[in-house]
Amino acid sequence: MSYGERPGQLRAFLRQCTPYCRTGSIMLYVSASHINMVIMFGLPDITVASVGGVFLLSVIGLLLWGLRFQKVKV
Amino acid sequence: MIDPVDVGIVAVYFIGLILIGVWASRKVHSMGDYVVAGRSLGFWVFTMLMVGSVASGMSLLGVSGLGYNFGWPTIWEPIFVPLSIAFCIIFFGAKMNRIARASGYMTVQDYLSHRYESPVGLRSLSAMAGIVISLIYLAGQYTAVSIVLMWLFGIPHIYALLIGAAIVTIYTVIGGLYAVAWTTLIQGAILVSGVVVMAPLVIAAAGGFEYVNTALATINPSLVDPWVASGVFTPTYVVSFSLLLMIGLACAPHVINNVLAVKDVNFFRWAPIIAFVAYTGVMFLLKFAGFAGKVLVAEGMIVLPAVKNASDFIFVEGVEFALPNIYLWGIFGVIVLAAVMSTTDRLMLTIGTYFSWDIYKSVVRPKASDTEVLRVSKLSVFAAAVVTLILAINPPEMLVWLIWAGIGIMFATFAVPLLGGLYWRRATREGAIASMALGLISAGLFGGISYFKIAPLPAHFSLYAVIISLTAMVLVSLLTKPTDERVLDETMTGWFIQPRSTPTMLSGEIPAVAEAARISPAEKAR
Repeated sequence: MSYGERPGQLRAFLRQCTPYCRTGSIMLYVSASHINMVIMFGLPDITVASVGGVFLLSVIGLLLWGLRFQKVKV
Repeated sequence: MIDPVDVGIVAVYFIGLILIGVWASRKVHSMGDYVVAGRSLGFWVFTMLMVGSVASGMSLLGVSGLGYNFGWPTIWEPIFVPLSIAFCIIFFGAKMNRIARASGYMTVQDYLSHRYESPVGLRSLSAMAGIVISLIYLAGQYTAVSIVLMWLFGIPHIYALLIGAAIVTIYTVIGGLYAVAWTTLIQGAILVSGVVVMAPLVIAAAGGFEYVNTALATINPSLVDPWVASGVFTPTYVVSFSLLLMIGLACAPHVINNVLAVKDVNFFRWAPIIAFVAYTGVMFLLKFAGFAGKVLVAEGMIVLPAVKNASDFIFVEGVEFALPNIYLWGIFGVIVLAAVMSTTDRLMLTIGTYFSWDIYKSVVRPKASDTEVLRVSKLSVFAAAVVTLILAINPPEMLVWLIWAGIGIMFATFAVPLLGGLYWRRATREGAIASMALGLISAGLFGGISYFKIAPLPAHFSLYAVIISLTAMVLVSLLTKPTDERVLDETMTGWFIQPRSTPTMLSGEIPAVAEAARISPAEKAR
């Protein structure tokens, strides 16, 4: 199952946990260990992919700038 | 009750800043020293100056606050704000620094007036726009200083404002860019190390990163999405907002002028990625702390104050919850003050420089001596502090919006003339004036439409103004006489970032505008 396939069920389950949140944090961890298989860091795939992708592209672009920089004689 | 240890920590910080100002004042002998620190900034001082100039009060209070309100759809802010530093260095700095060395520029207006052969019109328009936008931005920074001091010591707003303003004004007036740059090095180090230590504690107190995200999804599933289908952060808005942050901040007068002060243009090789990685790390942590704050509030662990901008207090309240030790609050106060003051001092210096150099020296009294202009510059910095203090004592309701709008106005006003000037040989003076004026006016117009909700705008208002500014530049430039080839060569205009060679000097007859911007005798002697 990927995130979004049955989000309603997953979110409904998590909402049920919310009222018990502090005392029920162990309960959420149990659920999180299950979710981990499909969601990294508790986030939807698209969030991880888009944010991670833009960040990585930025780093690669700036590294390329540094590597291709033509040294200037001062 | 005021804790004496907190007072001591903040007092040591303030005294340290004043001492740096006194030390820096001994190095200031000319306008070149005061405005561009004698073009002597080393790698780390320059890199941290860029980070510190961009890292305003909004970085600490606003980034977490926005994350608290809207969740992950605001995650683009921690990527594109730091990218503005890289954009500024690469697309403006790499070329402008080399032209500035050959032509002796003090400010970006020197470049604009030289490139567009407009010693009065474009220079005055650009300087006035820069001063007004910087004043608005500065008033917001003073308000942030006041928030921190009020929270820490429980003192009235007016006293908090006066204390904060007095410290920044003293070291900026006496030490110029030397003082601003060196204090920013210290402030930047405090900011980075402080956030790296404190933000993870807030996230851990809320249950850890993964728990925070899971809990956010239970509050509202759209809080963990990268954008939303309807509402504020739609894909269109996210793209326009990201462009605004990256290019708008890069054009900001208090940011772009830093590239003229660096000692060696080769520092531009690795400065972009180092500034990006360091500042992105800080901003991600602050954003995640805002998410953690959302969970803590939802679970009733913390309560935000009943004020209009309550979300701006989320990081402060989160730290109070995570760090019950009162002595650490003083250190936290210094961290926030460091972020705010590093922008405040640069803004004040920019206003003083724009007035003294671009208006007083270049337009009002071209024959004024270097000493006279230096005196006017110091007086202008002081006057800027007084004016913004008055604005900040009783801030207009629109102030918060105006600060955000300020970045949009900078984007709409300066981006096209600067990029057009550096990269497009066909860009002309008339095109630049039309682009700048229409960008400024249309930014005000679309900003008003957005603020008063006259009509829904799918993208950030500044994007519409930039499109108008770009259209004006292209159309008017193509309809008017091309710029002199000699000027285009002197200003290294063309479709390249790194020129093959530095112009040895302005060849032949030196334009009056460049003459006005030439290096002072003291600087030349050094």
